[in-house]
Amino acid sequence: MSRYFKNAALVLQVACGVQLFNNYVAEFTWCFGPSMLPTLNMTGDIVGFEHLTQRFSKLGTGDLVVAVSPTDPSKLVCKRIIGVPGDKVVIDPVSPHRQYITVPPGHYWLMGDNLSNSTDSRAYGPVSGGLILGRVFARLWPSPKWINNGLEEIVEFS
Amino acid sequence: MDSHPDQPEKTVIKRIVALEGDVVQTRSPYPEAHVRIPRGHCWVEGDEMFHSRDSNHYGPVPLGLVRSKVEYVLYPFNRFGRIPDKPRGNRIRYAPGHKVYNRLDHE
Repeated sequence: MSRYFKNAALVLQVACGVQLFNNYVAEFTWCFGPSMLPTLNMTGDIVGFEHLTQRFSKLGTGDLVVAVSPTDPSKLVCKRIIGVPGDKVVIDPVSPHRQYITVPPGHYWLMGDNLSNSTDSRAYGPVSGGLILGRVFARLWPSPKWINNGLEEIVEFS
Repeated sequence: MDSHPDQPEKTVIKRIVALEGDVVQTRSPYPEAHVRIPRGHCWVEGDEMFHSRDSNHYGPVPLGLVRSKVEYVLYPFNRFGRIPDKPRGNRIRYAPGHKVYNRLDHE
């Protein structure tokens, strides 16, 4: 009987450890949809996202994040941060009338990489920082690769 | 109990008075007199109406920011017990289909 208790205790400890790890360090989730082509697949990827960047340092422009959808709290969205608090961003780069908005404090401006098929901050406005769950750092399946910040240095042509 | 929309490190405790689809008659300093709550959002107000920074300051709050529901007061002991409901005012027009259960209506 004590063998069963030991096994049960071990399973419980491992489960608690996994739960703590998921909440505070990193976890994996299934991500599908056309809004992040070509970075992520349309038919589904398993991405890993971590909670540490938001807690210990700041999320920056170009980071891929997983957030709770502002229009449906039971769904998660995966988008890229285009504007951090204080930035002045263009609301819709595709529309003929160019409008700017200053990102309010504590909020982020999210856009998908596939602008033609993405419901993002152009539709629901700036997203509060409390809705952002974590920064995506890798895609685990189907083809594992590290996902970096998408920004590159601008090279001045003289 | 939800994360403050402008400062995500802070936690705010307010009462949810309206959910999506309801029309709320707002108090100052909100710029519009009536606002329809968008999908996935709620309207929070503090019980102390004129001394509260709530949705009348920062607008509808996405439900994803709501972390938990406050049920009981544990301390101080002279206020121990269930959180009392607030009497329902007439500033909210509820969308059809929204069931509002208020314990005070049934006593």
